[in-house]
Amino acid sequence: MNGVAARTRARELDRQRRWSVVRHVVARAAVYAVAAGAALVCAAPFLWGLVTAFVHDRGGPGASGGPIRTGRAPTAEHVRFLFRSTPFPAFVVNTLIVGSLVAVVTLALALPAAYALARLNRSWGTPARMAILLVYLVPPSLLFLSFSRIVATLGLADSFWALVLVYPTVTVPVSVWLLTGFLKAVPVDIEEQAMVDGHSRLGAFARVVAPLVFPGVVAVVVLAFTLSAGEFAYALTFVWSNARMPVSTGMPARLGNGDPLLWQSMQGGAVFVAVPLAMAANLFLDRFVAGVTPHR
Amino acid sequence: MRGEPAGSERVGAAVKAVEARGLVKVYQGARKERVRALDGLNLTIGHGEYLVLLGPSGCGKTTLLRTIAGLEQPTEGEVHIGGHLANGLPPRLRRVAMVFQSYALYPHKTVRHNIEFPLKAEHVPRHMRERKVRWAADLLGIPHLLGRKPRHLSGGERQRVALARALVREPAVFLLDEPLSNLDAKLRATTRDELRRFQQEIGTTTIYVTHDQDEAMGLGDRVAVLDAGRLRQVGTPRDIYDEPADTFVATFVGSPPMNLVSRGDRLVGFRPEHLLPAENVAYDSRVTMPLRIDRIEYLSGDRHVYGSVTRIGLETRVIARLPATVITPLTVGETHEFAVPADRLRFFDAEYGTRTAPVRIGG
Amino acid sequence: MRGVPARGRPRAGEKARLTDREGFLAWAFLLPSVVYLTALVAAPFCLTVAFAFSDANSAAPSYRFAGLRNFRAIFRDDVFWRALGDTLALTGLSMALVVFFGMILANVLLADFRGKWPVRLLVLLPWTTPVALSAISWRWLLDSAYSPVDPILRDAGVLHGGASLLGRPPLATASVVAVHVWRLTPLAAVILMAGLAAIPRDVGEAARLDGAGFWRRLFGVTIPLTLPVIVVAAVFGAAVTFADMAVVRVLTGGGPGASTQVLPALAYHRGVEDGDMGQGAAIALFLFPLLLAGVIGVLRAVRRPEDANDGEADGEEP
Ligand SMILES: Nc1ncnc2c1ncn2[C@@H]1O[C@H](COP(=O)(O)OP(=O)(O)O)[C@@H](O)[C@H]1O
Ligand SMILES: [Mg+2]
Repeated sequence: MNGVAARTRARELDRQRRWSVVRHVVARAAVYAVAAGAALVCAAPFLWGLVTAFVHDRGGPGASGGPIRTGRAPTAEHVRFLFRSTPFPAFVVNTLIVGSLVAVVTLALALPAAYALARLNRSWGTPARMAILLVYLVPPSLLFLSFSRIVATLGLADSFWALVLVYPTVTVPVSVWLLTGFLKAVPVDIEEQAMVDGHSRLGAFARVVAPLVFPGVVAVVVLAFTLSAGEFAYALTFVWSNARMPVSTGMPARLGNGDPLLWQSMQGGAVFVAVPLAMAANLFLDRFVAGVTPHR
Repeated sequence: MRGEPAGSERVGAAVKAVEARGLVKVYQGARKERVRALDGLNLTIGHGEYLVLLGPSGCGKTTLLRTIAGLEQPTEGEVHIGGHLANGLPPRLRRVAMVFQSYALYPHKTVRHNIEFPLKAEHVPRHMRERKVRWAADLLGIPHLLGRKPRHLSGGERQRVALARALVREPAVFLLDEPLSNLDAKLRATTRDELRRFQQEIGTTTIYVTHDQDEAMGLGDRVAVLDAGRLRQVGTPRDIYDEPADTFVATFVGSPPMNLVSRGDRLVGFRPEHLLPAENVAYDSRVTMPLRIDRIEYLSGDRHVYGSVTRIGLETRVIARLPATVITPLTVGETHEFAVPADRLRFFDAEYGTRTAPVRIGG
Repeated sequence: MRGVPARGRPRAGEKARLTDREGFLAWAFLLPSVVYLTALVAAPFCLTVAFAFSDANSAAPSYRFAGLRNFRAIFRDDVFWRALGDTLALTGLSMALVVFFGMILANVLLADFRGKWPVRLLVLLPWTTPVALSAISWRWLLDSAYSPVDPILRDAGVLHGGASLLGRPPLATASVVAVHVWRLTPLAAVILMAGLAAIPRDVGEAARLDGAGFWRRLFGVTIPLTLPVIVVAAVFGAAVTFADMAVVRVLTGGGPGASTQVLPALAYHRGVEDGDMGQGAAIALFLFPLLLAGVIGVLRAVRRPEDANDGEADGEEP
């Protein structure tokens, strides 16, 4: 090779090498910047809520000065107020009861349905899976008016049993979709082995398959909880007594009058509800992604 | 001896196509354990050479290719391509093309667009692109497939498309990662010949990775045997077979593998086809040993004799492969005198497995 | 062998049980869900349609056919048209932003970096928190005596006088969009993560070896391969956004001056608060065509891109 040409090329490559180091550093920095920025923006209202839940009340709306009066130690007064003097604990209990019951109903309906769609090869399997998922797209806001009539007819008006009855229409379709993904990931061999060993199809399902999709089951429980805690339209329409409301409608309803003391307490309440739900979801995020991924 | 590491070969005035110097690649596996996929590897490949990299799976073959291609950065060591240091350069500047084990075709693009993609990335003008796509497609005999999508191609066709895509860029080096492993046995044999012919036509430096010794021995100008991230031996297929550098190469290459008999601080090795009934071996320089026969298999005319030998060392189970021309009657259970020509014996260090000088064995 | 004759043979005496029959099991397993969903989705839907053509109201729960009267009434109503337009605009704008930010976030969450666990936890907050609570927190952050944003905007001259952030029409609308984007981006990111993770690693690396830079890989490989998942994420997000009434109700209450009114909130207002169920149902029904469009979108998207436009002449040029 020509010596001069080789040296020129070597210099050019050196330049490229330095340039790619710079690009790498910039890319890493961008990842960290976006991650930090996203975390901050996503948490912003809750962070602010958390701060204000522990600062002293400034003495009524309209007072001048910054949003927080500095120089005073944090106070637990608002949090105490929240748990002692507001219906917040009742809201939380209602939400927990509704969430648990909905999770149970969802599993009872969705697990067998998902199994039928994943395993028992019927020609209508795929269309049925699609149809069930599409039900998820029917919004509560389209149905709540007629539901309020149905609920009244059934004598469930102003009772959280109405929510237990109706919420699975939201949770079952997604859960069927998710569990079908999980079940398809369980090798058929394992189940056939159980059947060769003398179990019926049903026995094989209960004894071998169900334990293997346990992570999927837990993911569905988390999802059912999150969806039913977050639902708004039905809860607003069916339940109007304070003592029976879940968190999602109870808190906004109590805040209708703009008492800042109550507001500050409620910010603490929002964080109190938000963080456990996010923790549960975070634990199962990878499983969730795995369940959503199409199996090719 | 040819078994010395290639890096210490005399690097003459000619610039080598690819050079790896002291490559180490440590992967941080799951649960924090470390995997040393490459462990101080030296390798030199000349221009236009067809080097086959042979080794069991998990020995670091793919890692080496990916490090040369720039998809992985080595933990230590240097990669030189065309005489220039390539460390830190992104893949696109290295002028290497790689055919992945899975072929990695773009599933949403037609064959034409697959082949065209590298040219578009280099901003080649349209009429040039068309000419080159046609040229590559003609060379590989796939012009009729240009309008199809990868899903509608057979394994062999996909492989050609992957080759065509690698070809159009006119790379300095081809890296082929087990390109035949996804094909059925019959197709594999014909494709192997085609690949070789094709490389001779183009003359591009090629590193071909395989775990299949027949493929390796049949294809390479030189074969490099890799184990646990280290290069065990580089040499012609004949060297690798006849003059293995250590016990790993001796037992990995050849089927059935070389017999090894422990004798003091040495291992005595001989190939099954050289272990014959004594009456079939020239009397003057041979080493005899009694073989107690356990089992005899008839495989396409050859007899494979399983049994244990004594006298030349510790009692050891060995295999003898008798060609159809050897008609000595043998029965299971009997002990028969077998022999190996003395110049067919290979000696290895019992502790390190490396090749040592021959020792005299009486008899 | 001879001692246990019954073991070796199929137990002929015992009939194949019902639980061994696949056809029966398939139905038995699927039927409860199908019955449940039919009863509680299809039936109320038909009832909604029936209400829309009636003069039902909460005071007199009798049913009388009223023809198109409800529809004529809402067509004459400016608030309805405003709400329809706002719902569409809100949804469209939100989804464009959600997909854009979701793609970025998904890529970042798939990358390796230190402190991933807390970042993921915080990023999931908007999705898992009940939307009404999020809206409360946002309202507190944006528009209250304690808002840190308010004084900043005043200093910057964006806000002046007595009006607060959520009291100014364009800013109120922007806030509603922002909250929707904030809430749905994590969900979209999770769905897109699944899509991105499904791209074979080799294919992305082949593109790097082929000399493609970041943008060409993004537009030539990544986006085409994740397009179905992108559509699914967008449609699901859109379904959630356009049917949502919580954000608007809590954040702005539809105000100021009906400038942020959306169809579901309007339906609730007319149907429940004003007690005119007929009109409420008629308004809610307008969600249906949009829903149908979404369904069709999903159905087309789940067809694999590898299959689409097969054998078509190549005309595309970057
Ligand atoms: N990304 C990775 N992370 C951790 N370990 C890896 C990774 N890639 C490869 N390895 C490990 O490195 C070793 C060599 O792998 P590879 O080069 O793929 O082997 P080969 O191609 O020869 O079969 C194996 O033990 C493998 O498990
Ligand atoms: Mg490999």
